[in-house]
Amino acid sequence: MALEFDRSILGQVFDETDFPPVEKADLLRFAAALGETNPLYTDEEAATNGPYGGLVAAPTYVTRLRPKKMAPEHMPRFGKVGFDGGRDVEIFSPVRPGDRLKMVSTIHDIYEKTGRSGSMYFIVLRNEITNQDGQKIAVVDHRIMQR
Amino acid sequence: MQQPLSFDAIEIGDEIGPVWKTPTKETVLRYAEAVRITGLKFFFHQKDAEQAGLTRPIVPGPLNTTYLCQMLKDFFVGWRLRSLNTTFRTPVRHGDTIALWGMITEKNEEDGVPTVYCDLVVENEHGERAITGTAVLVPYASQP
Repeated sequence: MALEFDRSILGQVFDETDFPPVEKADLLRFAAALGETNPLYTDEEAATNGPYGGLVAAPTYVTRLRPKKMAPEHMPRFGKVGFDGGRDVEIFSPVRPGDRLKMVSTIHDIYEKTGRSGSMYFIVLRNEITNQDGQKIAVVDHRIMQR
Repeated sequence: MQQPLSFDAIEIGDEIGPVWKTPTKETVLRYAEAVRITGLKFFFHQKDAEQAGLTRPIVPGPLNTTYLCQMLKDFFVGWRLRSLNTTFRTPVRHGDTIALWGMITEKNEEDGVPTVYCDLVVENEHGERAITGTAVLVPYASQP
């Protein structure tokens, strides 16, 4: 039997968040917290001679951005508990100091999988991130598993 | 400066890693501060972890994902990550030593852009797969 929910919620924007300008110190702090040693993310001078012509954020920086509203008010619930089921990140352009990022969030997909332990329900929240020029920076799909 | 990895030098079946990491409570606290995780106390405290049904505080999945990303960056010198898809299967607990590795599963030119596909695994010290995933990489020169 197909999973029953109001399919009109798919693709509906439930949050738009504008972030303050990205600070160089924030990029460096993020890289340091990861133990990152790549000079593209840690050394402004060396990064100047790199492929981006300057310091950029480590690629997973975009996963640290959180919308004001983490989930829609009427997000369907299919189980008693929820788990972080994973992330899909598609990266289009690097994040640079001074960028003003905007995130638009939607419920991208809802599906069911059945395993040995029974049914699991996945809700995919999609965050699309652009910069001040409207340039696409990344798309991050956050899978929440419910059971 | 390391020489960029050439497309011709990449073969399907080439292994990436393994790389070992042991994220500790201090590692998690540093990461949490950088990404501003303030709630979700099961990432930090034993009591909160137990209340969430965990035996020990766990490592945020995105931190483990970032380790995968670092492994790829170290291997694919001169390449950039186009996409990274990860599935979190089993939590990694503070102090667990995890092994990260990958394998190149496909290489081809897409619209003239050399493109490499990899399968990725993060395994805990009990041999359980904590994360499985895939990644796609392209040379920096293809930067839009």
